[in-house]
Amino acid sequence: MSHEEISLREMQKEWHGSLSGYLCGFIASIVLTAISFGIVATRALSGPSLKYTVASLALTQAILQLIFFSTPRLGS
Amino acid sequence: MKPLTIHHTRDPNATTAPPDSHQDTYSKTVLGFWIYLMTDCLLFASFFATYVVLHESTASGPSSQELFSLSTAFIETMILLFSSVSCGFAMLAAVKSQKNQTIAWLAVTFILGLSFLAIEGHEFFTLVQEGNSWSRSAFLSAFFSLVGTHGLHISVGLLWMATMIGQLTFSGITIAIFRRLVIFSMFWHFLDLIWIFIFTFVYLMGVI
Amino acid sequence: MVWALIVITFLSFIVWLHHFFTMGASPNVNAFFAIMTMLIAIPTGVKLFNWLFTKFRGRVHFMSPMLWFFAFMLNFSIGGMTGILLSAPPVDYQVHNSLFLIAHFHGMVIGGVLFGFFCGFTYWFPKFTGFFLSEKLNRYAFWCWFSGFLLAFMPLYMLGFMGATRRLDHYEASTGWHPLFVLVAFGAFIILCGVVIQMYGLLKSILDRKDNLDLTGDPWNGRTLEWSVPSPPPFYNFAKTPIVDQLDPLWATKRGQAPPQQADYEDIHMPKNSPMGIYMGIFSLLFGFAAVWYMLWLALLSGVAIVVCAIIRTTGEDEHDLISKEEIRALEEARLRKGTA
Repeated sequence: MSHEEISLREMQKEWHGSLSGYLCGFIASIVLTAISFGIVATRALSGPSLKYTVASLALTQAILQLIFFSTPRLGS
Repeated sequence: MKPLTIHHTRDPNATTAPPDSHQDTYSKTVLGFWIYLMTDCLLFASFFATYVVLHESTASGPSSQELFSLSTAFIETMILLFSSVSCGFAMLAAVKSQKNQTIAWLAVTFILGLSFLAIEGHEFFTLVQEGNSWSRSAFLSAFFSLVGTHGLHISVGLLWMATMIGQLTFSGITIAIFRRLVIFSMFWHFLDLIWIFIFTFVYLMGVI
Repeated sequence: MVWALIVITFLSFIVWLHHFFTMGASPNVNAFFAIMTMLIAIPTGVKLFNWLFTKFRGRVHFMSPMLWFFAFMLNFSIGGMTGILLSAPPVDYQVHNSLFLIAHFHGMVIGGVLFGFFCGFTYWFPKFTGFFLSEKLNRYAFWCWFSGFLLAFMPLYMLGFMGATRRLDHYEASTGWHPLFVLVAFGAFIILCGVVIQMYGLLKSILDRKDNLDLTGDPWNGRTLEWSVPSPPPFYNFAKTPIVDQLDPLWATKRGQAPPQQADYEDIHMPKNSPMGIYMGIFSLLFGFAAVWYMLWLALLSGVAIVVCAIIRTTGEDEHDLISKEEIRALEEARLRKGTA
């Protein structure tokens, strides 16, 4: 049996991304970024609570971006 | 002395049939590139750790509060975010084998990336002009190392993008080119991911 | 063994400050890195004893790879133990930048890395070249290296304790250390003899290679699968991909505990050869040289050349060479005919 290379069709079918996925991630990222910048610019919070909030927003955005934007899944 | 008998346990799940198809190049390349991104993650983690330790060591020079502009950082963030999405749109076109759309969206990503680099370059240039280069203080060394490395990655990404646009123009969407587009998009999204942490921990925290 | 490796891998990222104990970090910082450094000795010890215990109930043949191995064990252990001494900051404050430190890290690097390398080099030499290194000359070289190393570096431990600082071009006669330094110089000379014998041995082995061919591919009666292919291996390595369903399948086959590999010939996919790797290496050398000496024109030129090579390498669809099973069968049968002729 010879070495099987998968065809272009199959590679494209394995691609999990979708328009809705990208737009979802995009909106979520914009919202989270705006909130972060907003909080810091207006100093709505202060001290440790400010740092923790902003850090959590960053972490959340990172996770959401990983979910929505990274489309080649391992194990495909 | 009784000879030692070594009981080799045979793995009952091991396949005794000859391997009939090896892992294909696509999944191998994708896995390999994920591993590379993890090592890049370690690299940035080291730079982040260094920055966190050194960001207060200003050597009587200017601090982050005096140097960083929130509006610049916000613009850079938006540019990179939009470029991540346009990269996604390029992939969507590539999946449908639409060569011209792919090239168009890649070009948009390129222009956005270039604008990011221009703004960041201007920021760096101004800092150096004012005497606040990487040798001014440990804080600035750490800043330029971290953000500069990210900028270097963006530059490599731009070169890669230009090459992909060239390859697409000449050959269209082939197996190898699609595979390369896939890993390029992984790279570009990864850079946006790192930027999230840069704008949060360097610029946002720096301005407080 | 595996867990020891994993633990060492993890710990190895958090010991580095033991190089800077005297650079002014607080006692707490020094203490943390001291403890991590001491901890890493434990899995290292596990590995050393593990290697030693592979000899258990075996019949040890003192061919030159084995000689290098035992020298490695001894010198690496001594270097490691003095490393534990050094990992205590109070001790390190006394002997940092002394000849004690020199003796320690040379023990690790020469005793550990270099002797380990020579062991591997000697062991696998027949496999990757297809002929043998002169065993006799290798032994002479080994004894020179081993005795020379001990003579050259053990006195340095003593000298370091007595206060000799490193990187000095001379020491006053009034210290009374002169006799020890003479010993050290003598040891260094013996090492030089070892090096010369090694180079001569390599040259002679290459010249005499036709008389020392490795015809079986398995000169050491090995356990692992690389000894089941000819020396040097064909470009596709294994004609038939071996099935591995137990430890040491080759050894099991030799002892009659497992049937020999049965698989039939199959097509083999090889990546295409490309010179770009070598070109990029050469341009990187030029780039590095230019960067050190601030030669902007050369740095730019070689930098651009590296990028161009990379782009060339990553362009194009033709990425694999397929060697059909018929071709493999023909190549293997020709090799067998030549071997039995």
